[in-house]
Parts: sequence; C-alpha cells; structure tokens
Amino acid sequence: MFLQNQDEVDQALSRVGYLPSTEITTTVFLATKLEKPILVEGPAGTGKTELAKALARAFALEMVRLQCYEGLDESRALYEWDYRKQLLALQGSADQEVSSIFSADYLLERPLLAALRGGGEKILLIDEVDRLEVETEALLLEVLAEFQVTIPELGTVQATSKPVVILTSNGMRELSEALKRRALYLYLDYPSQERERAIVSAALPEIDDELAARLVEVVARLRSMDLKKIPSIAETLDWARSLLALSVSSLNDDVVASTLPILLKNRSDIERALKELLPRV
Amino acid sequence: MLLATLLDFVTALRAAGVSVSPSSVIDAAAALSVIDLLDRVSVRAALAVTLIKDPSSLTIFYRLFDVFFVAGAHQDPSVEEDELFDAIRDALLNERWDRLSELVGQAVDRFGGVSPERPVSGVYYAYRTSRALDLDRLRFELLAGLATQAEGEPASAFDDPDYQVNRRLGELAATIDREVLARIVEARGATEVARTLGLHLAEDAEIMHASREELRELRRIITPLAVKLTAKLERRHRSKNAGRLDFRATIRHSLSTGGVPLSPITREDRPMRPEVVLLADVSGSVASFARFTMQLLYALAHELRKLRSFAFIDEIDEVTELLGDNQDIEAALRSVAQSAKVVGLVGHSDYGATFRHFDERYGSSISATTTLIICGDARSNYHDPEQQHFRSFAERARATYWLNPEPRGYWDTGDSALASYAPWCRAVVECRTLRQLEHFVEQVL
Repeated sequence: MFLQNQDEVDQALSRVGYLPSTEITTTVFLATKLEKPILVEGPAGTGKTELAKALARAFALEMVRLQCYEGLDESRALYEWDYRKQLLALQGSADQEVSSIFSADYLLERPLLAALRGGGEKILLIDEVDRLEVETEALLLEVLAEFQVTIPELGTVQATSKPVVILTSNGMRELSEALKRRALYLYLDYPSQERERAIVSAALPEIDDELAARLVEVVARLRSMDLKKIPSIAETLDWARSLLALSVSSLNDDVVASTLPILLKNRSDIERALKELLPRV
Repeated sequence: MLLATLLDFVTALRAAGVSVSPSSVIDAAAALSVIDLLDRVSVRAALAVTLIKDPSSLTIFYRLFDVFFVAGAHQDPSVEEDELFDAIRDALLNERWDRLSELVGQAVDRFGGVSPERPVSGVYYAYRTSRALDLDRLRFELLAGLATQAEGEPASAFDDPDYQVNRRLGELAATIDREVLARIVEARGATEVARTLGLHLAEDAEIMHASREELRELRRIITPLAVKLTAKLERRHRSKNAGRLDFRATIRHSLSTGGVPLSPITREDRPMRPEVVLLADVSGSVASFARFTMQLLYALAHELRKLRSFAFIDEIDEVTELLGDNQDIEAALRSVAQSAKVVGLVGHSDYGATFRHFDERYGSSISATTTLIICGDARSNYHDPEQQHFRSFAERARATYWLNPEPRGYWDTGDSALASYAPWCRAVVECRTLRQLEHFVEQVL
C-alpha cells in the first residue's frame, strides 16, 4: 500500500465511516512507510478491531483474520500438513517417494501463511494477541519482522506483497519486549468529546447536532466517574440509536435516568450514576 | 539539530524511568523523516507510537514532549491590558482553547515575572499569574455567563454549572502551567527543565509515601495487575493437570486416518479456582501502604472467587465479604474501617497476637492448596512475636509469601519481628513500589 501522506488515510477512513484521530492516521501512514506492524492497545470498545476492518474497506484490501485464544498453536496459526491427503497418496501408489508428500500440495494454509501467500494486497488482523501464551507469541515474530514463514520441509515462504498487519490487545497481560519492539504502538483511548460527537454524527446522520453534543457530554461525565465498566464508543452509539428510536429530541433528566442501562451494564454503576448525577430523579 | 533534540528527549524519557530501546529511537528518527515537521500533533503522534510501548509511560511522554517541543508563537498584541481579563473569560466561556493559549501567554508575560536567573520552580510563576487573574471574580463571571447561555433550555442536572465552571477553570490552570513551562524552557533549556520536573512512572512511586494523586493513579494500574495475578495463579494450577491422554477421543479421531493415531488428544482438566488467603496490616504506621493493599485486596476479591482476606492491627477480622459485596471501592474501604474489628486492646500493630488469633479462629482455613500472602512491615511494637502460631499455619500452606513495604535495609531493625517469621516463608519480598509488586507477581509467584 503506497500512501503520500496522512491526509490520504484520513480521507479514506472517513469515507467508510471511521473517523480517525491524528494519532491513528499518523500511525497508519508510518506503518506503511516503515513497513511495520501496528500494535493497538486500549480499553474495550474503542475501535481497535474496527480500525482493521475499516482499513480493509477503505483501501479495498482482502482481510485475513487470526483470532487468538489460549492454546492456539502453530498448526492453527501458521500451517499444517494435511495428514489425510498424505496418507491417501501413500496408500494410492505403493512406490510413492516419501519426500514428495511434503510439498505445497499437502500444505494446509492457516491465517499467517495465507496472509503472506497469494496475490493481492492484504490486511492481516491478529486479534486479541494478549490471549496467546507467552511461548506461542514467539510464533508471530518471524512473520512480523521479516514477513516470512519458515517451514522445515519446504524452506522459507516470503511474502509476495507485504500485508498491513494490525495486532490488537486488551492488555490482559504484558506482551513481550520482542513483539513490542517490532511494532508501532498505538494506544487507543476513549475519544475526545469533539471526535466522539463527529463519530455519532457520522454513524447517525439524522441525529440533531444539539442532541449529539449533549449525549456525548453525558458519556464524558460518566467516564470521569469511578465506575466498574466505563461506557465505550459502541455504547454511546447504541444509546444514540435508542434515543432516535424513541424519538427523543432533547435530553432531560428523566430520559437519561430511564435509558441509563443502555450505557452502563452494571447495576451498581447505574445506581451510582443516578445518585451522583441525578439526585433529583 | 532535530536529531539532537530527539536524543535529548529520549535521554530525559529514560531518566524518568521510561524504557526506550535503541531500535525505537531509530524508528522515531525514520518516522520524523517522512512526516510534516510543522504539524506538532503529527510529530507528537509519530514519536509516541515509535518510542512508547505501554500506556503508563504516556503521561510522562506528554509532559516531556511539551518541554522539548515547545508550542509555537503565542503573541497576540490585539488585546489591551485592561481587556485581558474579559478576553480570557470570553475564551473560557466559548471554549476557544487556541485563543486561550494566546491570551494566557500574554498574561504570563505580564504578571508571571518570569526571570531566568531566579532558581524558583514554575509553580511560583503560575501562582503569580493566577493570582493576578483573580480566579474568584472569574468563577463568578463564568457562572453568570453560563446562566445566560443556558437560558430557555430545559434544566438538567447535566448542566450543573459548578461542574462546567470547574472543568473550564481546570483547563485554564493547565494552560497557565503549559505557558509558564514554555517560558522557563526558553530561558533554561529543555534538558535542564526536564531534570527539575522530577517525573517518574506511577509504578515507581513509593507506596508508603505516595500522595493522594499518586494513589489514585496507582489504582488504575492495580486492577489489571489483579487480573494478571489471578491468571498467573490459575495457570499454574492448571498446568499441573493438563496433558493427560484422552484415549477414547484419540481412537475415535484416528478413524479418519485409517486407525493411525496421528494426533493424540489430551484431556484438559477444568481449571481449578486458586485458593488465596491474604492478611493485610492496616495500622497507621503503614497507612498509605494499607490503603494500597486494601485496593489490591478489593481488586482481587472481584477476580478470585476463592480468596479470603483478613485485615489486622492487633486484632484480626475477616473482610472478604465487606470487600466482595461492595461494588464501589470507597464504600468498601469505609465499611472495612467501620465494621471490621481490627483493633483490640492496644491499637498498635501486634503481629504476635494477630497470628495467635488467626491461628485459633481461622487456622483451619489453611490447607495444602492454599497460597498465603501477608502484607505488612512486621513492626510489632516489641510485643512477643509468638512465632509458633505463625509457623503452625504457614507450614500447612502450600506456600507463604511476605510482602514488606519497608526498604530492605530497615528489616530486622528496631521493633521489626520479621526474622521470627521469615524462616517459614517461601519468600520475603520488598514491595515498596508497584513495579516491585508486579515483579513479585511475574517472577516469584
């Protein structure tokens, strides 16, 4: 992917409905220039996975996704030999040479290999990389640094065109230095009020500006409180949609009090917000 | 020139405790060569994503960035001296932050009396500036201004004028600090100023002497740490049981490969819930540390199901339910202070009596699967340490750890009874900063 400057990223992403901050556009631009993966960390619901999806849409790239989980291993992440096919081949012809069953025909591609092979520019999303065990994390290093995979029986598979790589993490555990060093580190925090207002307006063009502004203000205040689960952008949007569906045109205390459960998922959080923000209701 | 600034900047980051690897510096330099250097926000973003690798360093990064990459011109001669106050008020009222910077820059020039020779810190200049601006009058006029703006709209608690005014005045104070800083940097040089800021990572703050602000900051980091600790304990329990061959499943699966068991299938036992018992000293001598350990207990109580926590001074009481039921940490801490019986006769720490009571009343809760963690300075005010009680339950536990908030050099001096207990602990760990606690979780546990 060749980019001239950050504005290109900004325009492309905005076109597909993802409003990026300067941090985001700069990071994406630098990732393509320096050919480095982007490691995105931050609280849930701030648009980490969404960024990868939006980039795929914005630049019409094929997206390959590797969802990480504890216990994910080489055969699920990189490649696997197709034992059954190999066995059949051996049984089919008795004089089959043993070496020939380790060829590309018997290779099952898994996401990491798939992202490197085949034509066309791709985007590789490695989702929730913090769920991997520390030992498995090392699997990724070769792909991330050299854009290649070494298969002992076949040799090294080099990427035909380097994919844009996005790793996301919820910070469940500290990632290894080796991984962090290879990537640009983007910390996606909750958006500023201005940006969140723009996000709401972009997602729901029919929303009244005044309502959007007040709604974002309420969310910002909730975030400044000491709650167990702070509302994310996703919840702001849910709330905005609900208010539109209820044809609410202005936000008063009663409306806020009755729709608060859309924003806050915890009974104690709701009680607390009501007590602190709306003592009169 | 730019490269030199970058290197100075990196040096200052490292001095504040942020680890920056050489390859990150190379990335940063490469990044600066491809972006528009006149766009300050882009430069900041480019440096942040290349140099910084964890969120807790970001605050320091932003502070130092303001020192090394000072914001541009800030002179606006269009405002007369007697109009400055009104202009600042209007900028605040309409939330025009750029304009505010310009105006505050002028105010600092006029009232701050910044002189480079004087070795005073920026706080003094900031104070002089805000005093000259008469914050009381400003607050009053802002309240009045907001009331006029809000007229006609439905009244809502969210319009809370006090909140709005405080938010704006907070912005003003931050702007004053920034402008003062910019002027001091001009006079003394970035490296010099960075050194005097005394920045350090929240992880490195000494818990015993942490300010309220720092304790608050610590709280943000402590919940992830509790999650990490839980995961660590669970994983260790699990790894012991993982990997037993599931014979039936292996044979069933091998049918697809003609009866050859190519991939053995192992049965994973259900993860065991870890059992942890935590004893925390909450006496006055370790007040900040106690607050911190209670926060840790609170965070853990919501992560670990099989956790029993106890608080003590010279009496010990179980606080598991007080912490677990309360959804809000402040309320939880209050209820511990009010309803837990942690003070017996004396009200000073008495580790001997505490351990005797614990052994008598709760000793049976310790079994071979229990991990026992004690948080305290072991300062027992010269009471009898009664180590036989400690020994009786500590030996029964799977492992016993002692977290001590005192510097290692102070251990076993004066009334510290640590030596009486240390032999029964698998490890006694200095735990003065969050980083040390993290180290304990990752390396020792």
